Amino acid sequence: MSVLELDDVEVTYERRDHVKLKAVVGASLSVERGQIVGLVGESGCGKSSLARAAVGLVAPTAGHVRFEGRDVTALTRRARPQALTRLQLVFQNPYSSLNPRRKIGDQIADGLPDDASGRSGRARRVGELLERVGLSAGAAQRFPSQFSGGQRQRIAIARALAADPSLIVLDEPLASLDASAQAQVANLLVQLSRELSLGLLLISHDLAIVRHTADVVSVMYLGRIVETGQTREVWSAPLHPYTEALIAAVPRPDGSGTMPDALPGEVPDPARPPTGCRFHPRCPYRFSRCPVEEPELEQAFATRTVSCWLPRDPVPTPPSRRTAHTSSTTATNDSSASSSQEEGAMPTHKGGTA
Amino acid sequence: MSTALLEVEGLRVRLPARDGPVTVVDGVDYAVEPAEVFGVAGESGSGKTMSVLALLGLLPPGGAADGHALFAGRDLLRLRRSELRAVCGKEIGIVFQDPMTSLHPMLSIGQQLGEPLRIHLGLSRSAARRQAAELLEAVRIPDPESALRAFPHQFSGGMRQRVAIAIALAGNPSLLIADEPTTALDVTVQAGIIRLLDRLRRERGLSVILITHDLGVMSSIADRIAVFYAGRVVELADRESLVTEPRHPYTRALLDSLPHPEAPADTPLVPIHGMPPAAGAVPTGCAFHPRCAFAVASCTTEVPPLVREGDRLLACPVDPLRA
Repeated sequence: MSVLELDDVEVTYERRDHVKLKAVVGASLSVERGQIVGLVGESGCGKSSLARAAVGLVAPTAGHVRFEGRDVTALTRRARPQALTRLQLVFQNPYSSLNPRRKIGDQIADGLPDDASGRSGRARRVGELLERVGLSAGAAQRFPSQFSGGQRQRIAIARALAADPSLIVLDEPLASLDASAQAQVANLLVQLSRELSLGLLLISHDLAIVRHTADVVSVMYLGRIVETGQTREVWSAPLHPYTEALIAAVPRPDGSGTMPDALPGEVPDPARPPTGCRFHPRCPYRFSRCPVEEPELEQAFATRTVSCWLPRDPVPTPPSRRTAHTSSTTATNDSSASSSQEEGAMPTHKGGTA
Repeated sequence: MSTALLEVEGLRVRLPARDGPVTVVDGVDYAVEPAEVFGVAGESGSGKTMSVLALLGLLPPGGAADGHALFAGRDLLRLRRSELRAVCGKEIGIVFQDPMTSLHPMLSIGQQLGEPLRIHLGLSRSAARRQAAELLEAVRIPDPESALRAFPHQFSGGMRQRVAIAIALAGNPSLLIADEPTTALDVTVQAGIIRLLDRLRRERGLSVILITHDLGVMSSIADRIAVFYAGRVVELADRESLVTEPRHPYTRALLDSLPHPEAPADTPLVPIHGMPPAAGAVPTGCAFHPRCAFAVASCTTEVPPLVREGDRLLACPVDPLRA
């Protein structure tokens, strides 16, 4: 049984002008113990809202979140149910998620269960946790400012581990780190997941790093999951044009000077999502059906799901060898795409005339 | 022989710290050619940002720079503040990492873009307005006229960074300094900014100093790349040879820690062992030796000089990666 299950979760916010904004529109995913699930998408796609719903920081407006078989209830002023402490969250920015004025050992000890034995027992446990994330036990006496960004992220992970979690949701844990620190933390996450049989929901905008860490990946666009599958398969043969665009945008450190492909436009305002397929205004393969009907997430091949109207090849095909799709594309009608497409600056800004 | 737009020689930067000043840039030389994208790579704390802020007199209070930085016949490090102010923003534009903090939240885009046009180019209000709209057009902001009336919060991160680039271009500079311009952005948006910088270089003959820790970004656009470690350049070469045949063990290690899109999925990321040294606690000899897999005894005592090897500059006498 999955340790975390999100079933058709919807997250709605009300804007100041009382417009209802659906940040997540019916998303489902599950995480097993010992499994790393990547959730990938651009800013504004709803991935952080989904993460917050997953741990109960916001209440879903529809659907269910189940952790170890019980409903995750949204936080209230009362204490969080004991069982939910095994569901933990690590934030993006380790500079703001740690208290600068408390020793890191004390901050980690906050997460230990109450029954941990006495002061010396707790100190020993804090030392173990620090060593588990690759720091020395002596670091407990120091303050966050004495650590680099990568080390702080390890400390935040150690604090999450203190509660003996079965699942940790990590919201962009690698985004603010240098390449080398990013590799260190990514490797640490894989190791922790395997050794502690820990489920991880890893949220990121960077499919390249997710590819090296996650077993399974879900790609999210404007509140919907548009593709899921084994990371390896999704990477080598993406089925959804959005996934394909995310992969093409990754810069290649190969010295050839090849420019990454910019995806035209941006994630639209979720308060006014496009008709039909939500991705159609930015999709290079769109055809007549796309602006009209919204595709469902459906099974494709044994282990994949995708929501796209394009006809699928009988076997997954890497985009470079894919030709059938482009030919089915009708010419783009709106002229705005052509000139600016190369650099990806298509949409108008959100404000209109001020 | 010099055709370089900017020539930096023997640049040293010292910043105040609790226990007295620390050296964060320790003798750096490089030259930037016209219409070149010159990449400055390295981890946080390697001195890559300070080495550039020093040229513009933008060091934090108490910071001091010496050496030479010849730009269009003048030494930037010898200019008076008022003279430097005339260069900065006019002949040299700068773009910072976070467009949310580099733009003023309460001023319209038109006001922020108009100011450098009126000050540096002496344009009238209406001429500045026209010019501002053209600049927004140049960085591919849709509907420039209404964008001029909008405020930063009405734009996404990528669009804000385009606005910041437009402001940097206002004085029609010959050199643009871009400090981690894509680090805060989504990869899809990052790709657009990379292409924009490349087009500006081609169309306007703009030279760009691109500072980033991301060798992937660097490898898409930089012509030459200087790798910084602990305040020094350890390797400098053209993009292709630096990325495909790195010779300094640190350059190699930086590349190995990156996710490589073409590599097989099970290729592990190889982080660099340990951490970059803190300013003021730089190891003796080669600063990289405690993290280097190839270090020999002499590495711990002698600071390796940056030596020319064909078209490459290399600060590693051991040179274990020589083909």
